[in-house]
Amino acid sequence: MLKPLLLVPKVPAKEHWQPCLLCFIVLLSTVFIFSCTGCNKTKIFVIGIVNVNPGLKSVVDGFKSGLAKSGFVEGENVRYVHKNPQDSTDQIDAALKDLLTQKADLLLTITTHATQRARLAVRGSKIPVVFAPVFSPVESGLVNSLVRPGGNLTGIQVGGNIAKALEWHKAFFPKSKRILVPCKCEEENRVQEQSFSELRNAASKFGIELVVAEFQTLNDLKAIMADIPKDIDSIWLLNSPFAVSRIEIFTEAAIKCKLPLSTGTSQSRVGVLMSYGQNAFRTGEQASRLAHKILDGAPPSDLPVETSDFYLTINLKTARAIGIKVPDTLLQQADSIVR
Amino acid sequence: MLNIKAKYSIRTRLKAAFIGLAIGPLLLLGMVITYQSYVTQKEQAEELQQEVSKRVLVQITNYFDTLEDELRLISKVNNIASLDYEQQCDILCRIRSYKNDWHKDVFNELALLDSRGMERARRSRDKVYTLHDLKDRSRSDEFRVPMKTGEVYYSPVSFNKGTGEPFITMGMPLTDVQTGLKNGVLFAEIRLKDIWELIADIHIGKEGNAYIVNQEGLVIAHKDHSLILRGTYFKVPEEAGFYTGLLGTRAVIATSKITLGSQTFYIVTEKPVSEALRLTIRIMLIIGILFIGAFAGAIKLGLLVRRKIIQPIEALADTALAISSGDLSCRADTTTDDELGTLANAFNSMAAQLVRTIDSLKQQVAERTLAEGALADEKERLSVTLSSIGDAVISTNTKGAILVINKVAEDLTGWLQKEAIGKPLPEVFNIINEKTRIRCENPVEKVLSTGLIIDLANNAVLISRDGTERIIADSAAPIRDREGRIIGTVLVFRDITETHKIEKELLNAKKLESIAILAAGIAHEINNPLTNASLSLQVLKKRLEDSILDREILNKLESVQRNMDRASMIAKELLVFSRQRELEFKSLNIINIITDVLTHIKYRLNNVKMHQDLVTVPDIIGDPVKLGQVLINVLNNSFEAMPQGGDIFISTSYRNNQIEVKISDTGTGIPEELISKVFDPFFTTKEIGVGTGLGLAICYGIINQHKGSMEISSALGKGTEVCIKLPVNESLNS
Repeated sequence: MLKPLLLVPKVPAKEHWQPCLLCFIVLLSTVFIFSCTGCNKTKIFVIGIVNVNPGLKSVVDGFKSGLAKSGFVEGENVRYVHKNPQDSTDQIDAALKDLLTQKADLLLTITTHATQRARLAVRGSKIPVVFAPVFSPVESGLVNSLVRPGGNLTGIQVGGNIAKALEWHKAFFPKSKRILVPCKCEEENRVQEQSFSELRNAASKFGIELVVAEFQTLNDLKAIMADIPKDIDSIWLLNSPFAVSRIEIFTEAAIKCKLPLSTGTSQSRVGVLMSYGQNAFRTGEQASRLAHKILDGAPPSDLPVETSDFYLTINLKTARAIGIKVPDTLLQQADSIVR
Repeated sequence: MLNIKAKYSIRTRLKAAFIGLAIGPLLLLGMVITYQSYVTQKEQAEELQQEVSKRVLVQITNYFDTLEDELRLISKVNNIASLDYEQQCDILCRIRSYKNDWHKDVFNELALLDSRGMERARRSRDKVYTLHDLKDRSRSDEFRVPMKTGEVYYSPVSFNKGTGEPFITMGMPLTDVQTGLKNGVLFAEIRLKDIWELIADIHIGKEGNAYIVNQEGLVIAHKDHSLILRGTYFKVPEEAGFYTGLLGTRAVIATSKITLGSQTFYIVTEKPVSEALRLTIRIMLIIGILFIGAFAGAIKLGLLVRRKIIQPIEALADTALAISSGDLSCRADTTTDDELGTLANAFNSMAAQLVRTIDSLKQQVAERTLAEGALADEKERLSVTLSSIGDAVISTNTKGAILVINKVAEDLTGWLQKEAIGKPLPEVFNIINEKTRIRCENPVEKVLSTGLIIDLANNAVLISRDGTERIIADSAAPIRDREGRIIGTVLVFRDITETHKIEKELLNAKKLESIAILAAGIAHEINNPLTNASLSLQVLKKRLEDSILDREILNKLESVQRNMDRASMIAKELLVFSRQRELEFKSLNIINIITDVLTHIKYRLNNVKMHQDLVTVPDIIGDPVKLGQVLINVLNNSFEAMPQGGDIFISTSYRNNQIEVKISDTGTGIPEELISKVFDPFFTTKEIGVGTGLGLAICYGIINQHKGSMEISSALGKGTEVCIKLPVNESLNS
């Protein structure tokens, strides 16, 4: 008749599967539900950063800071590989090659030259490249259009603001007539070419004479800066990696000669009196937003190229150092004041 | 196993009940709550969204109002139209670069147009304009509309070629306070990118956001810059509700309309449905998990119940079924302590009781069957007895109605049993007094009233149905039960007509016989004296013949002789009449008698075989005729006992001073109970009228007179042996 009842409830074998299966399902679904909220964060992304211009180091900082705010924290789920090659094609290529070997998930390239080399390096692969900043990406051949870059590249462009920078300079120094412009002119550097021509146009509009001092080597530069003609009333710092990497030469000379030093890129360093241009840190932050989208899976070809904002920076320390009083009205219009 | 349809079994029903009970309410409740919370949340979300979008609307409206206000303020305060170029530029510059909490670099370009639409001054964020770059804007809407309407004009959204960023241009009319007429337009190019930050800062819940769409559906402000720069379109719904959002997810969307001049924009606030209905979803999830839990619990509980309750019940049912199918040895399991255990225990005792009852019933049935058998046998025997009884038996109930009537009664009354039963006795038993012919008293009534055994008055005549009259002898008696109450009567009667007749004959015969005996006695008594007298007379006659002279005396003596002879003859005739002849004893040999008799009856032998075993025996003294008569009688009886033939053995022997004659036959024999009666006068086994029954009686008398003995032994069906013993006279044979 009946099997003897055991003390421990014993379910007949054929009925085992029912409750067990249910428990299993419940467990599984619970685990699934509660674990899937934090699914994706286990992968560590490798981001390769190619920075040719040490002056734009803040871009990297801004970039990392921006990504960190988005949840990509260095050491936890992202690893940065820094490459700071000289502004030469070979070095840039080598750096890029190495990054690709390290299986970078994303590349951040700073300056147009680096970006151009990166574009060639990632051709045929799916590795996205974020550039920050680049002059005229469309004309540089990096993207098809600002709105639809196509390809693997997208990033932040800098608008032409050299003329405006000069206008600001003029606003600050209405009497400025002769501006020394040290220039390491390279024919291939179309970017520099462009900005230089813009500067020239603007200068002619304002009736300002640009005194272009070409140099090739560091010594040349030093020589120029050591011997600044007396009729120069201000120095203009052309943005180039070389110049920015040797900015001390400029600033020291400016202070020594008590000359306002202006530049077209946001610079708050002492010695630079006024700068009007993109803020490297903010540009990096802007780039990080794009990088975040890309790391989340958006294809770079669909992410339009953004334009960096311009910021007027005035360094009052410099002003004091060179004995210039900056009017309040102008100061009020500044985005950033270094006191 | 139980043959109950699966859907009707307790197991299924309990399972269904459990699951239903566990899940039903939960499901119902869950559905109700979910639906309610869904509806409520939806409404709330929509309302909230509406509120939010209104709030955003206010923000955006304020934004543009502020912009306008700034421009208006600055222009008024500075009376910009009346300033010179440098001053105008300066002011424009300062306006352009003014940033506050609301906006950053909002103005891309600012220009001052005079009343003719000519640019007086222009300042840009990223371009350099000098006096030479001023243009004629009199044909643009930014000039014409404000000049005409006096209202601020907003242009449709366009995109900056260099940056791809959207902007709109605004034209604000300036009024000459002196003349009251418009003296110019302040033109501003507004970077909509500036609003992006504002919009991005608007958080709706965790994942909700707001964006602005122009009247063509183009998204012009969104926290995702790429989305705007790409150029994304969105169809703005008219009412707040659930729609597919900008990014394709289902969301609660509410819109507010903002009008800038003639331009219409829509503030769209979006909150993903999953977030808006988070509570609902969470409830559903919880209910889902609870559901699964309850389901599992119900199943577990169901299994438990199954094991604890259903299985015992099923086992019990199986046991019951087995028992009802005949297997009485089954017992239910009684391991639990609860009601089921009690039930099982009770069931078992019931089953045991049932077995005991069945056994005892079987026993009772067996006993009863035996008893009934015995009863039936008894009844049968009774019935047989009743029908075997040679007398008629009628039994009645207390009312005098006939209950039982046997065969003999049937014959005598002429009524068949089935006709007589139930009828009152007198109807069937019609008796009258023989002499008076008056109906006799109903014996049953007398019995019932007196309670005594009643003998009918003699000479009752029963008239049968067909009128035959028979003389009967009867007696009636009450039938009493154990307590002595009369429960009926029984009437026994027999036809004594023949017996009566025979008795009458016997009486007659006896009378005759007694007369004859008397006569014989007298004759006998007379005979001797007569003989003596005759002898004496003869002697006398002889003596006197010689001496008596007187013939008269001789004549008288002869007359006396003649009269005495006459008297003697009369005595002899009397003797003859009585058939009791005077025995004439002589010496004889029985062998001769036998031989003579055998010769006489030779003709009757037919199919009867005679066997003789005659041993020489001494003579005896006897009456040969009489002895012969005896032998003939006996032999006749033998013949009559063997109508189909048989054997007769005659033998003689001498023993103990007696000769024995044995005559045996192989006839029907005489029943034991009648043997003692065979020598009774008028006893006969023959039909009434055929035999007088005197034969053997006379023989017996004769043999008696010979001082011998006659014995009969017989066995029914085997035969009869008559043994006659006669004494031998010594003196004869000495």
